[in-house]
Amino acid sequence: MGAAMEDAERKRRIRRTAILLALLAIAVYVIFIALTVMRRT
Amino acid sequence: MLKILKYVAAAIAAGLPAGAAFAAWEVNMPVGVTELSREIHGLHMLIFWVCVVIAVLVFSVMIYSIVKFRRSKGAVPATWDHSTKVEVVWTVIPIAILVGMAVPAAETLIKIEDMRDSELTVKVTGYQWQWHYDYLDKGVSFFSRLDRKSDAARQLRSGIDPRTVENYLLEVDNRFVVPVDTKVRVLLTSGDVVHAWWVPEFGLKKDAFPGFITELWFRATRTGVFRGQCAELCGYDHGFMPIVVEVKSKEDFEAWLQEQQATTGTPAAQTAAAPATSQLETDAALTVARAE
Amino acid sequence: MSTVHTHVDTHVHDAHDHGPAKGWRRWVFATNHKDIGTMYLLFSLAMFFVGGVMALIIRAELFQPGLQLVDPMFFNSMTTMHALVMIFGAVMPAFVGLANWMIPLQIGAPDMALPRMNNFSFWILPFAFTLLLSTLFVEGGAPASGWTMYPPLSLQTGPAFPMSIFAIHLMGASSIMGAINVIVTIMNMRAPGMTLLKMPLFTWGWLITAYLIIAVMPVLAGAVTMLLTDHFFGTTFFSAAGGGDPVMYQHIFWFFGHPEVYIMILPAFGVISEIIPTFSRKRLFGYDAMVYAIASIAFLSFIVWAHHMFTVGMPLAGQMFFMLATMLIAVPTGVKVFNWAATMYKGSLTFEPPMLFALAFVFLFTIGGFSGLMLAIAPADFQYHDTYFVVAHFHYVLVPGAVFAIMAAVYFWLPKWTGRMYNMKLAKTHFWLSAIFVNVLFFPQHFLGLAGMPRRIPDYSTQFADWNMVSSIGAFGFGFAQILFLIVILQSIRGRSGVKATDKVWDDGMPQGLEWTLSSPPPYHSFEVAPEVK
Ligand SMILES: [Cu+2]
Repeated sequence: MGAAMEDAERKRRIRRTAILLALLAIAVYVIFIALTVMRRT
Repeated sequence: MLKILKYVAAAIAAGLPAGAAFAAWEVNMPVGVTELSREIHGLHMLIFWVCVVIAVLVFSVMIYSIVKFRRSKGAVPATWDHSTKVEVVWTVIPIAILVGMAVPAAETLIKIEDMRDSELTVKVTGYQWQWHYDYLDKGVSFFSRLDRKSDAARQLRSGIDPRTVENYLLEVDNRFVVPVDTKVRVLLTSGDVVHAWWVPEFGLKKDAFPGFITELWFRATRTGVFRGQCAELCGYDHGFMPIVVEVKSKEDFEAWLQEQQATTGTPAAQTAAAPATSQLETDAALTVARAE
Repeated sequence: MSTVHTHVDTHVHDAHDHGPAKGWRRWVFATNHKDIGTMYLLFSLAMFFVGGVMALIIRAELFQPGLQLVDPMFFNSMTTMHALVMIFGAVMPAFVGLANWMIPLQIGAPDMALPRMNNFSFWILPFAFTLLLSTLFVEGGAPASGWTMYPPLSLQTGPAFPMSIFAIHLMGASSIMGAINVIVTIMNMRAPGMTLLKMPLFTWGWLITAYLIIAVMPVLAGAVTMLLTDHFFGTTFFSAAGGGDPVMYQHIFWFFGHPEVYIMILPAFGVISEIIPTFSRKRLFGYDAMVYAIASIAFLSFIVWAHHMFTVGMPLAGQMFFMLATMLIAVPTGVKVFNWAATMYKGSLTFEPPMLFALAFVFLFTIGGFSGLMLAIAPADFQYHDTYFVVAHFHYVLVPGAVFAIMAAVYFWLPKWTGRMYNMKLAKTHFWLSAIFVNVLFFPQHFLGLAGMPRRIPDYSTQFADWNMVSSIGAFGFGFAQILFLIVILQSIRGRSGVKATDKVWDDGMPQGLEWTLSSPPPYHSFEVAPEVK
């Protein structure tokens, strides 16, 4: 029982970390293009 | 096998601070013929010897360990795994060495960037694949491209032995002529892609960008002919756009300049042939650079 | 690192336990970290040979002055593709493969945290590289503007241009997914008691590398996206004609490119920090310092990028800053080398193939580090920049550096993976041939660069002929020596060589990580029951 709870909690944490990291990568991509656009104008 | 041995022997014989520049088996940077090139060479040798000393220390500890602490010799491993004292020592000492290196390097860097009081200014433009020299306010300008003899020999499977061509790949039709003991300022730009202007004997290289101006300066302290090459990949014939600088005495330079002004006649027309880089058409940049 | 006590009972199976699927399904639908790790490693080995053939074409053309074999455009394609294939096809996937195999074993996890994404991130790679390599056959040839793809030159590329950029996007996506998986696994799947500062250094090196990948691969993706729009959609990010700036591209590229160098070397540091203590039978000297050194190198890697572009005409203050920041990297790197030397000091050394490669790594990587320090000196860099001195420098860091570390890792863990010892004699021959020829190949390139030979040229003036010939002889020697590597691996996989490996594989002396508590080969699901780390 306790182990199953812990498992679900871990799964949730794994999903959250993965999504945050993916968002970070996308943010870096967008920020660098945005910075270049801004520098030009 | 014998051949390899011969090369190894030659490598050892060459030693490090070898003599004549550009001899075969050359192993070191030329001292060069400008004040800056000599300072740069000095920095290069200083950092080189610093590295050699550190290498000798670290490598001898390692080699000693490899020889001495072998299990086959019955070595019993020690159980310690850290020592704050030595770790602090080998963090702090390198920092001190680096500061000692940074000071002279910074001084030279400041000199390199000091473009004031130049006595002659030349605008140098890179093109795929030749250079254009424009003596500003002197009415002299010309293109400078690979010498035809080298060009014939360098064709794929030309059948011409490069060793029979004098200054193979390092000769041009029109040399860049400058006076000795004169601070020459070079303004660099490009008509197409990025190039880099480099003469090893002058110690410096600088990139040439389309639509922008970069600059460098040199003061050659002796006359002679000095050779270099484009140093930034610029397409098909990147390897075939040499730079040849002829340093003449001041009188000879004046005579050369007057002769140029007289013979070229229409320096303005020549300059016009080199399109101003800011007007570079986008279409031109899209042309596929596959030479036919 | 503390010694690990475990209570693993591999006979405990739950209802979900099953072996690998049969036939091709096992590989195409693979979600098992070992299967995916194996595929990564084999893919990387194949790419190592593809990139190697390209290198040999380059060195064959440079064997003597004059153009004998290939035209300059194809030569430029070879230098470009060699770099892309070796960096994104050989070195990075090899480390991802090692991460897949070893991280779950080292932290006591049953598998990677995101097995299906793991499958996806691997299977992108064969498509990405088919696309990249197919540019060799399109009109105008493969990309030839160098792996750095500086505009405006790269904009002159033909149909290969969008293909190679799409391939780079795919490789980037693949490595970002791989990196996310590594971080998520390490953050969430460690066995009880496996605190961060008890993790083996290989896992540490990878944790930090994974953050670097997530931080900079999108930057590369952004840079090449802007190249693409400049080429096809009339933007002028990098063209002065429309108010852009080609130097801006170089800044963005190297903001990715410098950390990329550390992406290829930090996991190598980790590997070496595992192997040297093992075969010295002595704990790693200064474990904490080693971790902090990796972290500070990673941090510094973000503020030194412009040392790749001292010649673009930056303001004096900029040049000063990047020179000083770059020199600082020598400090944590020095700490690593000193600590490896101190680990060996008063140890009890033996010289099996992994140790031989690790020792060669320390000696030769250090040489690459010294030439790196020389290159950091901005005024001297005005001479070194874009010459064979730079080529020698980064090949010392990447070949006897990263590649030797990968070979050391393979020789270290291969018996654990296959359950059999490999042919030691052949592996040692492979080592000696590699170690000798790699120096014959790259050391003379220092001389060539200092004497004035620019990089990326298909033909050279006759005064460079002698050292080029030596270098080419070294290249062919090194290239052919790698066939032995292939033989050793294949023999071991097919179980044709040697005795069964024990769980400890090496001897009872030292290996102390969790991976050595499992059988060789380990069970299909690594740690069904989490081991307890004390
Ligand atoms: Cu050029």
